[in-house]
Amino acid sequence: MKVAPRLAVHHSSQPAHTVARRWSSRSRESIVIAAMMLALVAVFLLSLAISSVWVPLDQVVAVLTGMDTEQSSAHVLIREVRLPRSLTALLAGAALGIAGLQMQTLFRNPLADPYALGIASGASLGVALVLLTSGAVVSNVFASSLGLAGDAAVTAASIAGAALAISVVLGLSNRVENPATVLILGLMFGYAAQAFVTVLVAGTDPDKLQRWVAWGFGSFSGVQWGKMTLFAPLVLIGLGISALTTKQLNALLLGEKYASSMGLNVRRMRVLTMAGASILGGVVTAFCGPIAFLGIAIPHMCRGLLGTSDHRSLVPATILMGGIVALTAQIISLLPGNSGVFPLNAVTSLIGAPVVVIVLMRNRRGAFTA
Amino acid sequence: MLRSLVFIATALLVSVGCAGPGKAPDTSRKGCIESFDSSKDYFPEKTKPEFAENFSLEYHNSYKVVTVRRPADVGMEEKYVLLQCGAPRPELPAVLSRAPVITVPITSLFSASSTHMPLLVDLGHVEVLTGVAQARYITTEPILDWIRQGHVTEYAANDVIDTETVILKAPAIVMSSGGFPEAYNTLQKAGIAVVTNVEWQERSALARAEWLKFMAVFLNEEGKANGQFNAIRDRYMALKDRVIKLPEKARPRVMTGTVYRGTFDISGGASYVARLIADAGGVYVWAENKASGGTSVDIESQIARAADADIWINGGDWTSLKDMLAEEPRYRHFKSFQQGNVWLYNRIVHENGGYDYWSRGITRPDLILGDLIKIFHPELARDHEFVWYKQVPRE
Repeated sequence: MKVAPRLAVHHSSQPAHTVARRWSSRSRESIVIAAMMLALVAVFLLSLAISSVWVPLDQVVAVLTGMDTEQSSAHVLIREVRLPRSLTALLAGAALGIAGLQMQTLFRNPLADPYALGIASGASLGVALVLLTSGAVVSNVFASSLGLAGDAAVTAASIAGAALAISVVLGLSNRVENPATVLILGLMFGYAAQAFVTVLVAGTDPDKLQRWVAWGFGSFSGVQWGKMTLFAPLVLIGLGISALTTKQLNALLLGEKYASSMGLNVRRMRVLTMAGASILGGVVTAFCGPIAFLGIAIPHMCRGLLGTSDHRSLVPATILMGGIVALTAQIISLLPGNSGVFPLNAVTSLIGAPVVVIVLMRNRRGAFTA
Repeated sequence: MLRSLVFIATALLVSVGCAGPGKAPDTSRKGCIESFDSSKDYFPEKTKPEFAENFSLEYHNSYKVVTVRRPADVGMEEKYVLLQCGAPRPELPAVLSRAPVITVPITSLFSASSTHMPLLVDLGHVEVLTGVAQARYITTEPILDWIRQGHVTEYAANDVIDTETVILKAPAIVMSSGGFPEAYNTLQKAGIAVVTNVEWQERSALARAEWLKFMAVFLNEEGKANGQFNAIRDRYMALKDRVIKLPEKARPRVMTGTVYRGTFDISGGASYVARLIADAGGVYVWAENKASGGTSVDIESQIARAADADIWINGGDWTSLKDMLAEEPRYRHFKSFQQGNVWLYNRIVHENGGYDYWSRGITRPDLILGDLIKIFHPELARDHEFVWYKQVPRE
């Protein structure tokens, strides 16, 4: 029977369920995912229509359908600012949600998130080196050696920092058996990187510090079309890995020993999953800054709404939900009339945290059923 | 043996302690009162802020009272009593009971900000500077010479005030630039007067420059400050008069700022930059914005507001328009960028990377205004040579 692995998964968490109940939960999953698709399309369009500057709806439609004149300011606002920003939010939300899901499953820990392996700390170390070191030292040498200016250097440094974190932790993880140990290694790498960042922050003048603080706020607005050509493919690669390994992730839910008895090459799966999650977390951090909360919250929301831990439903749901929540946060951070800037990270956490609490409380089984 | 070592060490410590400057009132100083006459006005030269809103002065025979209204964004006003050296401590009213009493003219000064340096240079008192928070941000040449000669202690090299060093060196005052790190409380408890210089909160360049008078009251140099400031004011007003009658349509629309990750850092509509733009015969695109310092707007609002601005001033560390595009391709949607009308104040950059604009510019708003008029209305400033502003080249 085709649903065999799926039955096994459910078995572990909900042994009392009947076959009939499983079928009904399957249809529930389909309905929830369909609703999410509609919601995502709606939020995406809303994010193109509503922002700090008011553009009449008919002009929005005209621009989107290509019926407008090239040089109108609505054209620039929607094509050059809103469209890339909304796409970035969608991809970043999906990426962080999936990376969080992978980490939570891999480590069988509901508190794991995309940054669990020290990716954000590694990235922030790279960014701090570029933004905070004074004058011609590291930053300029780094930037000029790559032929990069300004924010491009920040992005590159962030990727380099995240890559360093990944390679250190992946390298060490091959020597340890227990996944919890890997988690602690990541945590320790994070502390070490943060220590360097603190030293850099301590000796910095206020102007540079302001940039640093702004980076920490997180933003989907920095990815313009030029950067999108790098950002989107990298995120899609990461998402692809997760989509192709749903069965293996399901097996991991049962524990590494059980998974390997089912014929899964656990060690390879571990490296693949960590690499995938690291690409997702690292790329988003590089382009958007350390976006808080989405990575840990989205998978919990989806488990709660779907009532399952089956990755064949969770992965698509997480991608959709990540996009919905990120786009909503983006809309709220730039509501009409608010030309000033409300930090994205504040919105994601303030809006998202109560939602997760509600989902968890309504779902008495607990949202993490490993 | 041990005992003699302890003795030598103690003797050294005691002698170092005695050598610390600024401890006992030194009545031998030039201008100090030798025989006090309570009816005599010891401050014949007085000054009064004309544009600055954030400090005020009050003169008595042997002392003056300085009030800083807003030493920080929050917090109460601060008052300092400046007592002529050699005068007996006066009976002070209750409102001044907690004000530090500072003997003037001061002979030593620790300064928290590089913006205080031009004030000392203009008043001819570089020699009072004995400490700076961080030497690496200073770009004022005479001060750098003074530092190179070893007269200056750095007391917050890593942003953290080294209270022990400050207490040991015991300067007459520590001039902060606002905010209240805990360290300042400690210093005040140790009897060191902390004075707040918040020229950056003023809303016009003239008012900022007027903090020259603030520095002058501590040095008893009111006469010099008045003369210098009046000359600057007169030049500023004369320049402003050249553009005052221009009709609205002859005034270029001006934008400021630089983008970072989709957020534009711009000058607020109530800032001194906005005021300079207006005084130079320009129209600031964010004129009705309320921020008195810098502020942030999202790129979308900036495009909606400034896409058709004629001139762009005060951006990032750009060396060319090409460089700008590499940083943010969406700059190309601004008319000022398309026409190459982007101007930065980087004509003179100090070898440590600091901009001369940020030191000399503090006390020379007339020169800044001259530069801006030359950018906005070249025909009205033919006699003016650019001091700080430079057009960003294409390549």
